[in-house]
Amino acid sequence: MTNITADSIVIVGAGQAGARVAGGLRSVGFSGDITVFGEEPHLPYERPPLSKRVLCGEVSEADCRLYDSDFYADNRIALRLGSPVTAIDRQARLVTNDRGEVQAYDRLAIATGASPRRLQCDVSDETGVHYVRTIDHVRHLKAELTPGRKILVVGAGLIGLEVAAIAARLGCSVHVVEASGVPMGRAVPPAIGAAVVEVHRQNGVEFTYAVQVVSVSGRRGHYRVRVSDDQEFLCHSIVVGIGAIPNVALAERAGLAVSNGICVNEYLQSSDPSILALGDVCAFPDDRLETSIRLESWRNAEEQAATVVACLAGAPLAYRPVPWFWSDQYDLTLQVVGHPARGRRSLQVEAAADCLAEAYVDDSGQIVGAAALADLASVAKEIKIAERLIKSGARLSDADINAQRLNLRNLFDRTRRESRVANA
Amino acid sequence: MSEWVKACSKGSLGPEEALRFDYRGKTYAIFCGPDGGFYATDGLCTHEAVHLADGLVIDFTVECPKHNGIFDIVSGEPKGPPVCKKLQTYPVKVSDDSVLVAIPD
Repeated sequence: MTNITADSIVIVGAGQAGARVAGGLRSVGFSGDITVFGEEPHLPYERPPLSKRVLCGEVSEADCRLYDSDFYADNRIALRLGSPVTAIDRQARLVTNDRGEVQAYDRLAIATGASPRRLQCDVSDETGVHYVRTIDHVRHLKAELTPGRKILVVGAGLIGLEVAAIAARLGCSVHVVEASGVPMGRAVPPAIGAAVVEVHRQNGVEFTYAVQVVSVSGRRGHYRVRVSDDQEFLCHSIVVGIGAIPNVALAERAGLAVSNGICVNEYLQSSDPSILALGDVCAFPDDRLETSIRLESWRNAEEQAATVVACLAGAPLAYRPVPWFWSDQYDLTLQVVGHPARGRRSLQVEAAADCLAEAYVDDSGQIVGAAALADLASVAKEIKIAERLIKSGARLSDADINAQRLNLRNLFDRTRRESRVANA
Repeated sequence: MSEWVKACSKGSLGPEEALRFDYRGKTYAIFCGPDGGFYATDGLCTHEAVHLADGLVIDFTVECPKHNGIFDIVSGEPKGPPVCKKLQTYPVKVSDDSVLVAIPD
C-alpha cells in the first residue's frame, strides 16, 4: 500500500526509466493521475537490443517494448508520445509541451536521457552518418549494412564495437577509428578489451587508434574521411559512437542544479524536492568518490526507477548501486560489474574453459569489480557471484590473492558460512 | 492429466545447481535446492527468452543469466523487476535414482 501524497505525477521522458516509474507507481498502489511525456513516437522500449539483435534482424522493434499498449490503458497511464516537454514552471507546478499544452503536477520525474555526441568537424553530407540511440536511427542504419559495403566506425566504445561486429557478420568491410589508445575506455578492463578486439580482428575488422576525425567530405556512398594523422578512409557510411551527452537543457531552463546531468541527492531528488531525476540524465552522489557520477545502463534505469518510486511512495531508499552492464559481440557476451578501475590489482578467476574472467581488488583486499568474456552462461555465473561479493564487501585473504586463480563460488560459499556463524 | 517424465538422474545435480531439460518441444529448468530437494519450472525467463538453467542458484532462488530477474524456484514467484510474470512450476518426485517431473498432457 502506498502513502503517496500526490494527485498527479508527471514523468518527462518515455524511455526505459520513465516507463518503469509509471509501471512501478501502479504496482505500489498509487491511484492518482500518471502522465508520461516522450519525444519519440514509439511505445517505451529498451535500448540495449537496438545495437545488437534488432540491428541484425534477430528480434523485432516490438520485442523491445517495456509494456504493450494495453498496459498503459489498463493502468490509466496517459502516454503523450511524440510530445516533448519544453518548459517546467516550478512555481505553478506545470509542464508545457511543444504544442503549448499544459499539465499540472504535484511530483515530477525527469528522465530525458542523453543524446549521442556528434562529430565535431565539418560534414559534407549527414545522410550517411549514423548515430545509434533510437529505433529510427537503427532503421536507417540497418538498410546500410549490406555485403561489400565499407563502413567506418568512429569510436571503439561498446556501441561502436557492437555495430562493428554485426556489420562484419553481415559481410561489410569494417574499419574502426578510436581517439584514445584503448578500446572501450575505462569501462572495460584492458585485458578484456584486448580480447574483444582480437575477436574483431579474426572477423576482419581493422583498428586505428589515437586518431580523431578531422573532416568528412564527399557524399553518402562515397565518403572520404580524413583523420588526425592524415590518413584517409574511403567508405559508404559512417557510424559514430563517441559517447552521449545528458539532456539537461529543460532542467537548466527550469533553474534546477545541473552539472554533467541533473544533480540529485541519494534519493534522486533534484535541488527542487518535488522534482526527481533518473536514468542517463541523472548525476547522483557516489559514496566513495565524493562526487557525482552518471551511469548510462539498462540496470541503472531499472534500479533508479525503483528508487524514484520508493521516494514518491514515502519510503525513500538511498541509491547505492553496484553498476553492471553487458555487451554482445559475435557469439560472446561481455559483462562488467562494480568499478574495475577502482581496483589496484587484477586476479584471474577460475571459470569455465574459454571464459576469460578477472576480479579486481583494492588495497584492502576488497573486491571492487569483475569482468568476464565468453558465452552467456559461463559469464553470468561468475559475474553474478562477483556482484554478491562486491555488495557484501567481501575481503580476500593473502592466500586468495596469491593463489594462481580465484574461485569465486568457493569464496562466496565461504563468506556465506562465515556470516551465518557470525549471525548465529 | 500429466505424466511423470524422467528429467535426470539424482546424482547429476548437486545443491544449488540447475539443469536444462527439453521435452516435447518445450524447455524446463530442474533445480536442486540447498536442502537437496528437487524443483522444476518452465525453462525460459519470463522477461526475455533466456535459459534459466544457466542462471545462478542461491538458496531457493535462481537469477536469470541475462538481466537480474530473480525467481523463487519453489513457487515460481518473481522477486522483483524486470520480471513480473510468475514462472510455471511442476511437481517433482524422486524414484530410485531418477528425478521425475509431472508434465501436463
